[in-house]
Amino acid sequence: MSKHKPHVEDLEFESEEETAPTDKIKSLRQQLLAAQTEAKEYLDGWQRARADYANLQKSAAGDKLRLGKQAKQTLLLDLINLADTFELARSDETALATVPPAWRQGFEHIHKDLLAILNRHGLTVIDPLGETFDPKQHEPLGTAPTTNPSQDHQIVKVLKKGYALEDEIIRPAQVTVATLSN
Amino acid sequence: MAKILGIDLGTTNSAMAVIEGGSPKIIENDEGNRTTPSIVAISKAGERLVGLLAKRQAITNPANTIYGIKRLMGHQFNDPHVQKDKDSAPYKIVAGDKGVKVTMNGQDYRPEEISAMILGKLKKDAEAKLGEKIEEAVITVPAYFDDSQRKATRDAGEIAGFKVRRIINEPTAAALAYGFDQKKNQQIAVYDFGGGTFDISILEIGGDGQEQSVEVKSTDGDSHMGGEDIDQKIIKWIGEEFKKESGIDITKDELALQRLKESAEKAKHELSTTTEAEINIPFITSDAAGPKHLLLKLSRAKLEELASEYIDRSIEITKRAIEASGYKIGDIDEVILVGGQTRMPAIGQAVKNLFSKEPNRSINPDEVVALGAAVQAGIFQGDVKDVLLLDVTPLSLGIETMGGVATKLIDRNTTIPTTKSQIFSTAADNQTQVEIHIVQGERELAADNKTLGRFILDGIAPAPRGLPQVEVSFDLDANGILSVKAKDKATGKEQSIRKEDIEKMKQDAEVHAEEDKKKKELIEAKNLGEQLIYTAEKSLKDHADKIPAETKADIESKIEELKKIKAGADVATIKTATEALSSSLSKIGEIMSKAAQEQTKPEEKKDDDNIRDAETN
Repeated sequence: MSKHKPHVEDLEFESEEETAPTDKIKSLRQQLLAAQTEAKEYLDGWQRARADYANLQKSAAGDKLRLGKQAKQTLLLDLINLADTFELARSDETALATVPPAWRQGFEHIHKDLLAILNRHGLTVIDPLGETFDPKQHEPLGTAPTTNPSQDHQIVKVLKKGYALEDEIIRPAQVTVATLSN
Repeated sequence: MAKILGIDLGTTNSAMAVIEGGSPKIIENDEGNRTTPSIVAISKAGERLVGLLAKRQAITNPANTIYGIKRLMGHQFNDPHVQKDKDSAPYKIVAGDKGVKVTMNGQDYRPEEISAMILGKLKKDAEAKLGEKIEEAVITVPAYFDDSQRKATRDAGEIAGFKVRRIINEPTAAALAYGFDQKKNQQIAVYDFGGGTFDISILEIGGDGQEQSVEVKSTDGDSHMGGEDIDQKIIKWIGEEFKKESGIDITKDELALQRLKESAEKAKHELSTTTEAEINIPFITSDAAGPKHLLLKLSRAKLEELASEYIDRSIEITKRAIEASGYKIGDIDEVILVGGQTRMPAIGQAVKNLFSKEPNRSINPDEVVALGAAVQAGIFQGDVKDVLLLDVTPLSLGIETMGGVATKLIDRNTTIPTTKSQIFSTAADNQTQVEIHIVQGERELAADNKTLGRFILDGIAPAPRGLPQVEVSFDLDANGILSVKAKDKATGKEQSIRKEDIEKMKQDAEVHAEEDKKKKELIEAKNLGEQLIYTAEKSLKDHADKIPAETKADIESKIEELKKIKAGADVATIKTATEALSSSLSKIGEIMSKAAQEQTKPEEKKDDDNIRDAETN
């Protein structure tokens, strides 16, 4: 640590009577220059450290928010998986018709409840059937050929709905996109 | 000085990092991901897409989506490897005036330009994240890249608006991330099993004097083998198992296949830490009999069996590379694992078995190359310059609080200089002063730690306990010297102990340890004598009618004597006088117990109470 102390002692040059005054001045000037350079370096380091800290504080605040959001997203993504399965189960109308009505009703209530939970946490559903394909919101799992140019790049089937959390897409809708076949 | 970006420009994914506070840190892209797919596209709407969005739309727009451009960097159209890629790529690869070009939306681009688009996105995202302009970069390339490939990469960086400070080898970057460049005359093997490629490099860290050099002695690999092949194996296995059970082929159903892919990847990741993963895909399909569900267990042993052909192959290639390097397996000092697939325990084990040593894997294998590039950038930036060494305090510092507890203000290993303060209060009603007892150490009780100093803050306005607010501040300077200040928030009165005083106290404590012990003994002896005098006088008064005159006179004279001696400083005589009084006093006890036999109960309990009072007063 002592190496960082200002070298005050160094400024007291050797008391050699023989040293000429010009030499003394020269030596003192050199020492002053060295001290000034050192001081500048220290000031620079100090300012840098202060700035680093201020920036760290700012980014830490942002990181905290982001981490909180990320943790929420991770959990919601797992729940979305569950919602997907409910959708799939419901889509099989013929099979569902064979289930006792009371069971079917109960099943639908659980599904409704799950959607309400997702909604409560700020999730909105993206159901883009018929819309133009947009990679920001949709993930195509396959394409369907079309000969109609106006249908090119339209979403013709929604395999899984998408979800957005506070305007941010956390799961794009998985879709089939029509592509023009020549 | 502006930050220099370290970039791992990969075949399938790219990553970036900068030095922050002396250590490398990955920067997330705009989408919040730590890696960015190395894919560029021009959408039907004419929009240029880079990264995740380009990847997503690839299936709808294969002819205008460029991936794997790294494989074309710096090549000539006639290169056999380009001819092979030309036939398999869904986008057009054409001959250019110098080398090859790829076509997007009817326009031809050089591979440098495509790479520049990826680098440009990284630059833009890093600037947004860091809030400052980034003008320079260090970019990594595979060790086997030749001059023209390196030049093409440098050009890509320049097109993206970077001043490219250096192109470094990926394995060298990995070694830098681990700080192995500091070692001398060592051989390092970098085993890189990524998503789509496998590379092995043998490095030699040389240099006896000032200059360190990292030389690639040999490099080998398979540009078409990676973790994705293992994923495919798992998917195939699940599909077959399901077909065996239900007779249905689900690999033709887009949605089912997508769910299968997600589950396979999840299971693979899980099996890096568990020995069995459950693959549960309800309602995967249906037939006339109703809905079908997929529920399978994949054991780690089964996964290893599925992956074994790739692992074995990577080990064979590794052996080949070692041979080509001119070294023997035993000459390799360190092994580094790079690439996400190396998280698989079987791979770690295979590498360990080959080299007979534990491979390095403490740094995220997906990020180690970008982090190493940032380390190189930091060397240019001068951030790693060792001008200011920050120390830490080796022991916790705090004060004694109610119940003799040591309450820490500055925890051990806190970087210094530092200042910490905390509000304390009084423990009793109308307490007008507090003692600040500064202690150092990790033990729970103040008495078990080392005392650094004490001082008293008085003049606190009388108030119910817990109400006054006393702020205690600790300041520890860069030399580890402490100053402590206590301030009554209500009156503004403050008291402090300067570092010099604490230092003196610390020294005093050592020098005067023996003296203090004697002092303490004397104080204890005096206290004991005083208590006894109090008890004796009280007994004489309380039982005046029952004590014979001679006993009373004897006790009184002993009291007087003890009082006289107590004023002195001789521990031994005080002790003797105290004992003398004590034995005379016991006569009262005898008299009282005789009386008690005649009457009912002795009144000893009252004496006990008195003594206790005396202790606390």
